[in-house]
Amino acid sequence: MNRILLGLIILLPSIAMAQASDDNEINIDQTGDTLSLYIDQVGYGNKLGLDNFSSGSSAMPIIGTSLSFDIDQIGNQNLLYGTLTASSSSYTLSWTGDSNVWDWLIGDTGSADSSNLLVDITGDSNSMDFDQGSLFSAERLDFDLTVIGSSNIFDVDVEADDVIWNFDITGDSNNINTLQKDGGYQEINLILSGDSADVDINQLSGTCAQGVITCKGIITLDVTSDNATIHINQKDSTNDT
Amino acid sequence: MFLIGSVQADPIGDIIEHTGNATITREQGEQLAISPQYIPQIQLNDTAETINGRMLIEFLDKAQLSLVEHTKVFIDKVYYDPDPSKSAMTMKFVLGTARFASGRLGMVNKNNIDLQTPTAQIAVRGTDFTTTVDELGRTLVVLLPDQYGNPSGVIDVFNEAGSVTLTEPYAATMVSSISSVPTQSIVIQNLTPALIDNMFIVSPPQEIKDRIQEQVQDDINVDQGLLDIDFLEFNDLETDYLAKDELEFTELDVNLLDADFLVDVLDIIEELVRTTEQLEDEQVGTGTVALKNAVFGFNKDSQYNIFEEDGDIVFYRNVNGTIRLKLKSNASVKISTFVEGFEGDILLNSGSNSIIVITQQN
Repeated sequence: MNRILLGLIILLPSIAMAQASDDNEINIDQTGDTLSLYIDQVGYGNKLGLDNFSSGSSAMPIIGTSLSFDIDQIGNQNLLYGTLTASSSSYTLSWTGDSNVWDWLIGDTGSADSSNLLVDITGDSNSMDFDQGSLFSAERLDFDLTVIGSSNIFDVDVEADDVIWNFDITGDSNNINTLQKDGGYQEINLILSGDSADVDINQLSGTCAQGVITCKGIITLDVTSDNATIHINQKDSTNDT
Repeated sequence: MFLIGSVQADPIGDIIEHTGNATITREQGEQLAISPQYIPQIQLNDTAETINGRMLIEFLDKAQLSLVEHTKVFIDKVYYDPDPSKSAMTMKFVLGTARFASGRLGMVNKNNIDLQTPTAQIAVRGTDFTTTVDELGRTLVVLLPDQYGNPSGVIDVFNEAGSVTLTEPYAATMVSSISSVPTQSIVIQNLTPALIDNMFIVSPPQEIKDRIQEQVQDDINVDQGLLDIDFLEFNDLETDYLAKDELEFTELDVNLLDADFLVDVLDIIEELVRTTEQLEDEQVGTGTVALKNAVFGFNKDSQYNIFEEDGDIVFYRNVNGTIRLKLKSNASVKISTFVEGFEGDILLNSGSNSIIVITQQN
């Protein structure tokens, strides 16, 4: 069963929504500000994002500011793909299930400033590939991620000023690879509870912009784990070689 | 008559040297980060502040103010008038260690130079001196010699409780609060200006510590008549509550100024040799917790502060970025650290289970 709720549609200049019959696909094409998007997908193999969910796809074309996303996917093997451009936006995302895939790039065609992400994942073998600010500048990211599950893979690359991540990971054999890059304030707080974790934290603070006085990187780890392998690379440069 | 400083935008001095991170904050709150590409001029009501950097300010009368790391000075009032008796200079030393040398051009009558700390005022007479202020406002003032080793002048250090005059090279006094008398002048031996930095906050010269102790003892010994009677005499103090416990070091004991931000290359080499030798050093442990190649408290080689928190063990390092690891006390972890000035492994317990590799580069 699939339940779809789109809120504040009246504010949208255009929204195209198609739902394929075979694998429950939702494609969104939207331009405009102050979008509030609520989606609950319940079931198996649901897809949200790209128009054909392939590498040649034209992504999830969403452009605007002050957007609000509230997306829940409940079930296994769900997909959330997309590239979007949004500033001053908030994202509340929740996955409950196994083998779900999240692949998002925020800031595809323009700056993605003042983002607030609140993500909860409960399940095993999930994969998250999240990028922000790599193509265009981004400032101010507040990213809270809570994971309960094992064998999840997280690849998070953020190129933004003034970034605070709070990750709370509970489960075994999780693989976490993060990159904080760009000048300004960078902070990551990771609470890890679970065995055999593989964690890579790369934090490149870069050069302080004029007028910025607290140009620094902060890494805080609270680890309860056996057989964990953790690599921390903290560098006062934007060069990640 | 001309009055420099009466117009806000008029510069009253220049930053002639600087290293690392430092800022100038204008009266309106605008913060200006100093860089090789951008060196702001000093204006009235500026606040000069260093982070992990240093700066040297030269005023129009050639008075010089130098700040070491983590120092903050508010430049309150600087007026230059053709009549030196009408010129004035007021500065507030808020935190850290700063050196002030009065101007050789004689543009400001020394009586009109007012230098303040949270607990004391300093009156100068042709003087070169340093002042170190800690977070509690406690102030250490040291009179420096001139180029010939003679006293550079005379300093009066005073507050509402009393005053002391410093007249000899490296004569010093410490003021603990606005209502406590400055300690008597004491000459610190084997001191050079280069040795005077924020470490004075952490570890005052022995002569000063002795003088403070004497002063405390004097206060205790004052005959207070009826107050000398101890109605609450008891023996609980016979218990040594300060008996050494390696885990008594807590986060509150972490001194951010312990970090060595300006590492000399030769020091790095020496440190690496020493660190390599240390890899064979002792295993320190308390109860079920054991450390190898490190000790609880501040580790000068690796710059880690290691302490217990809620039953866990915290490794805290704040040099060119902050890293804080919190590990279970029964965990077996090897922490390999590759940073400027230190390369080595620290073992928590046997270190045979988990691996943490920390690389830090500029």
